[in-house]
Amino acid sequence: MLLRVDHESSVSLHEQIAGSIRASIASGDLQPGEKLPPARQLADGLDVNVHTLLRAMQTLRDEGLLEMRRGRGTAVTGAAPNLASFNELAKKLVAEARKGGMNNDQILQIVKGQL
Amino acid sequence: MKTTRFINAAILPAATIAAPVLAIARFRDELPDPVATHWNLDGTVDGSMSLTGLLLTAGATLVLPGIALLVGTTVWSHRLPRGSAPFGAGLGAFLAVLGSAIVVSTAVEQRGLATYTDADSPAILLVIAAATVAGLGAALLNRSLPYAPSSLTSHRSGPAFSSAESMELGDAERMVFVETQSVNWLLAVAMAIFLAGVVTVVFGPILVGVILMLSALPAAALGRIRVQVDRNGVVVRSALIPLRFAKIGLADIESAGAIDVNPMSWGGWGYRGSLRVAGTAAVVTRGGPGMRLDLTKDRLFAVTLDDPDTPSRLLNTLVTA
Repeated sequence: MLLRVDHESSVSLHEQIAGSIRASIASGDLQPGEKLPPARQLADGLDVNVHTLLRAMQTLRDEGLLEMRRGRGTAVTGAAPNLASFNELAKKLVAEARKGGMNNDQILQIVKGQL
Repeated sequence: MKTTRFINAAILPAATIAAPVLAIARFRDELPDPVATHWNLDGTVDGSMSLTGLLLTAGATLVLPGIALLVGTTVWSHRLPRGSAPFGAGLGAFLAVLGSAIVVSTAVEQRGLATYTDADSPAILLVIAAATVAGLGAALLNRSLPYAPSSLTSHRSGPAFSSAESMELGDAERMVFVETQSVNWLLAVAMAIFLAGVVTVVFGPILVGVILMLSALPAAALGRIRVQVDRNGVVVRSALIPLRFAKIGLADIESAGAIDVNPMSWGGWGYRGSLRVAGTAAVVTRGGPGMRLDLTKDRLFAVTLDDPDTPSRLLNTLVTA
């Protein structure tokens, strides 16, 4: 797994970290069941606050990519590889739609229209 | 050099085989059969074995493995990591002489006895002292052998090593590489030993069981390792138990690249060598791809990694930044 953050980017650090981990899951670099290193060790390497890193992990937990268990660390879920690639696609879709000047309702309309 | 090899690879092994055989052949008629082989703390006999049994047991568990180690480290001394050949030769000679001396002292001390229960406890300290002297001697002799580890030299200059290029990394950018590596057979061994320990605790001597359970730890520690590379350098940890195998600061690293790790040329699995003593060390979990770090003061570190290229590029970038 290769994580990368740019401290001068306009994208917030926790989003960058979440994106990095998501990409690693989508590419198969992080396998289902694999455990992530303790947040403290990753945060130190990335030169970010531990809370920033935990926030990124919480985002991924909410997306269903990671499961966090007290005392047992953070692991990639079985469903993660699928979800990760779709989350990546959804992120791209939202970003493109915003560039096109669409608001949330319009984006949802488009997605719903495809269902 | 020739004398050294001759003593370590021929004379010592031959002597450790010949001495017990000759001793038993010489005193066979005067010895009780079975002979006493184990004593209580207060010096009374509580174990015996037939003469042949003693000879075979000592041979199979001490003398032959010791000789194999001694001959192996003597013949291949130039191909082993620095420091490990003398250690192996010393250990081999120690084991071989220990096994040999146990048989000889048994034969010498118990001759003339009617039954084995009359035997006094043996001069075990003398036996251990002899084995220690032989071990130290063999280790010193082995040290005089020329050291030209072809495996390490080929790590340095051979085609196996490809110095990785660096990557783009802005001043405000930070990157972390993490690889978790599992070696299933080591995990299986650890699990088997641990379960054997649990069974022993339940059905057998508790202390032996606990020792067995604890001895599963090294295999478990090595069975899943995690390597992290970032702005601080390289850290190799066990992913299962809180144990750090190695931590190498960025300031100590000159360059990084991929190599092919052959456990035999590093002296086996685990943490091999010593950066402080030998200037060479490696964390080896399996054969195959690994990352090599050239360190300051002409030292060398290696760790097995499925993807050595990415962290090598990252390190080369960080080092030159």
